[in-house]
Order: sequence, then C-alpha cells, then structure tokens
Amino acid sequence: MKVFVLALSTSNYRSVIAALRTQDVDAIPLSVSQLKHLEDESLIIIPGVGNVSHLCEEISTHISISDLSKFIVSSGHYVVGICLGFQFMCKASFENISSKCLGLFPFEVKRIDKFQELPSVGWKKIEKCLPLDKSLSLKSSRWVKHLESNFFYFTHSYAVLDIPLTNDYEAYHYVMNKRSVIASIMSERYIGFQFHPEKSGRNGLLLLKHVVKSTQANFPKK
Amino acid sequence: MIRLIARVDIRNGYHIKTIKCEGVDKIRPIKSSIELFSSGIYEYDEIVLVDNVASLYGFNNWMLREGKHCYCPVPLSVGGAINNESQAKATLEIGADKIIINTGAIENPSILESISNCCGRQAVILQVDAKSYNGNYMCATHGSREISDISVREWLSMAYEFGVGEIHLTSVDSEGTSIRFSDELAEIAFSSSRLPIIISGGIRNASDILHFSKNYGANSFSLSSIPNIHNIDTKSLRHQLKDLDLHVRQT
Repeated sequence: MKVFVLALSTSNYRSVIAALRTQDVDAIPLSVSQLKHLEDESLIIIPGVGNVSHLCEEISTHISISDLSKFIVSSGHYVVGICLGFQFMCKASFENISSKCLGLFPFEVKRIDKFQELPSVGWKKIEKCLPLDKSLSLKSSRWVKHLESNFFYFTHSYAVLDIPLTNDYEAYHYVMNKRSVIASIMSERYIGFQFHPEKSGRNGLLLLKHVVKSTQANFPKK
Repeated sequence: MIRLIARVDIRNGYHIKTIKCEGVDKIRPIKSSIELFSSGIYEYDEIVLVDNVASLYGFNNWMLREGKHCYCPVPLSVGGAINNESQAKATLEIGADKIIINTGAIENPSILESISNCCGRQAVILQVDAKSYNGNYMCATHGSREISDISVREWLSMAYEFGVGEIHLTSVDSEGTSIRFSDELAEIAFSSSRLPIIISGGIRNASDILHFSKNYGANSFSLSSIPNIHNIDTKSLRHQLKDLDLHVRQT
C-alpha cells in the first residue's frame, strides 16, 4: 500500500509529508491530475488550509468534483481528509454553498457560531459521540484509542455540527457553547479529521502512524 | 484552557537570551529549540519565533532566509520584518502556521487587513512591544528600540477591525528581568480588545500564570525564562498548573 498526499496549494501538504516522515512513513506528494491514474489500492490524504471555494476551484481545473467522487467510490482507495480536506469530503459546505464537495460523508459543514467572527482555534480534548451504542466499534478500533480523551489542535470557523444519532458512523467531538463540534468521523474507507494531526504534537504523530499501519493491514499482502 | 507558548527570540540562526528585548547571549541553534519545544517533556502548545532585529536591517525573516521548508509538530508562529502580503504568504508556505507583525503594521496598518484577507485571520498575530513612557504604555517598534506615537490601549482597541487573529503582547520593561509582567499593562490589554491576547515578558512561574489567569482572564502565556533560565520542563509546569486548578493540556 502506498501513501499519497494531495499537493494542493490550499494546504500545508509539506508539513503533512514531513510529519509522516518522522514516523518512518514515506508519503508521496500527488498532483490532482495524477490522482485518477492511481491503480494500486492506496491511502490518499487530502490536507487543506483556507477556503473551500479555493480548494474546489483548484481541484476542478483538473477533474470535475463529481468525477473525482465517482472515482474514489468505485476504487478501493482509502481517503483521509484533514481540516478543510475533511470538509471537502462532506456533502456541502455553507462556507460557499455553490462549491461542490465530494459527498463521501453525508453531512453538511456549517459555521460554528454565526454570531462569532473569530475562528475556533486551540487545543481541544475530544470524546466519542457515535455510534449511538458506544460499545460498538468499526474496524478502525485499532487506532481510535489514540483519539479518545486526547488533545488535538484545531483552527477552523466551519465544522460538521450536531450529527443525527446513528450507528452507521464512528465519531468524536468537542463541545463548544453547548454545541457538538465534530472532531473526527470515520466509515469503512473514509476518515475525516477536523483537527490537524500534523500540528498536534506527539499525540498527532502517533495517530497518523497508527492510521497508516492500520490501513496497511486492511490490504492483502502481494 | 491555558495555552503555554515557547518564546524563542532569534538572531543569526540562534535562539538568544534577551533582557528587555536586547540580545545578550546565545542559547542554542533555532532548529534545536524548535525540536526541543515540540516534543518530549518540553513539548509546548505552540512556539513563537521573535526576530527583533529584522526590521532594523530590512532583512526577511529567518524562515525566508533559510529558504527550506521547516516542519514543526506544534503550531509555529514566525515574525521578523514582514511588511507585505507576498512575504506573509511565502512564510506560511515554507512552514509557518501563523505570521507575526509589529513594526510593519504600525508603519502601515492597512497591510494587516490585506494579509488577513489573503491568509485568513487566524494566521495573523499582531506583535505589540509595550514600553512605559511618560506614565503611559506606548507601542515600541524596530526591536523595541523606538517609541511610536500610538499607545498600547489605542492600538489594541483597533486590532480586531484590522482583521488580526490574536495579539502577542510583550512587556519590554520586564522581559528577561526578574520583574513580573505589569498589572497595569494587563488591565489595559484585557480591557482594550476581545481578541485572544498572549502575554509575554515577566511570566516567571506557575504562580504568575495563576495570578494573570485569575485576575485578568489571561489564558495564553509566551514563556522564555521558565524553560531557558529556570529549566522547568513543560511536563512539570503542567502538573504545577493542574495542582493550582488551572485547566491545561496534559501530554
């Protein structure tokens, strides 16, 4: 299994690659135009810093968002989105509702607090909020222990908020002004991190390492 | 939650010891300090690199001079003679998570808004060097060597409208000395702006952190003497703060 990081200008992809290297993971920078030519099952990391419309514009110059979404769904690739990259994996973002997103998670991204100009910045401790039945775990349980009750670094104005209670996803959140702000959500092949694991000190680096190792274990050895 | 930030004053590739923002001695290479303060028992919540002489010589900041991508596992803020959008963007692209501006903003306040628009408010920190002058706290520029004609109170009250994300406020008169950060300055700061304010210069120990947290609501502290002079590791500091009932990240 190879690990790729999308080399988007609306991102800090070099920091993500450097972070993985500290954990002996050699991640390869990948341009959007190379994405659809990936043949082997891979782990693709979508980093993101900034504005969803800029990210969508950048990707759309190489491939339409709906084609990209279809490609990911029909491939066997695993996808990890970080911050804006995670928001791009969702259904839509109210940061710019006309910007098409991938729809890999059926949730909308909304402004955390419409009365608050300042973004939510800083370290937050996250707790499990889904599945509804907290004793359930998806296959990801091997690395999720690195999430529960740990602190991670966030910097965002928009987020997935108040997901309906379900057993279909595993999710972690922090609470701000009584609102549940999703910190991480995962399904069979997709993982989203609202925080920046590459900027969350030792905990973040360990998390990245174990996500990669755990994903690697899902692919049959060739 | 209390945010513990490692303050790294820099010159010529070195982390330097300063007294009242004047460099007096080398401590270690900058890269060694970045590694030290982003891992292990000295892991801080963030690191700020303060370059107080860049604006005197018109140099680019350290990161741009190095010219190589610099990775830091915790948020890294970098300053030093940033006075336009392209320098700010270049600094972020080469590894900084936030940029710090002081002199450039006082000389031309409009650059704050333009940098904030292109890079995002959360990526812009306004550095304010406060010096007592004729009974008032005034903003100092050029490595705190010159006193501007704008007071700290006035400058901080405008910061939000300029699009700045947070303020890094240094008490020049107590920085690197054994004097505590001034209560009068804290009162001015926290009554002038609703932005997050990081206070620096004269935060000497856990009791000082408790004092400013309890009396002024301060929650962000930029520390230099604690790790470099008193040799208190961050893990121990976190335990001390927890014992004082302060909410702080445990590593």
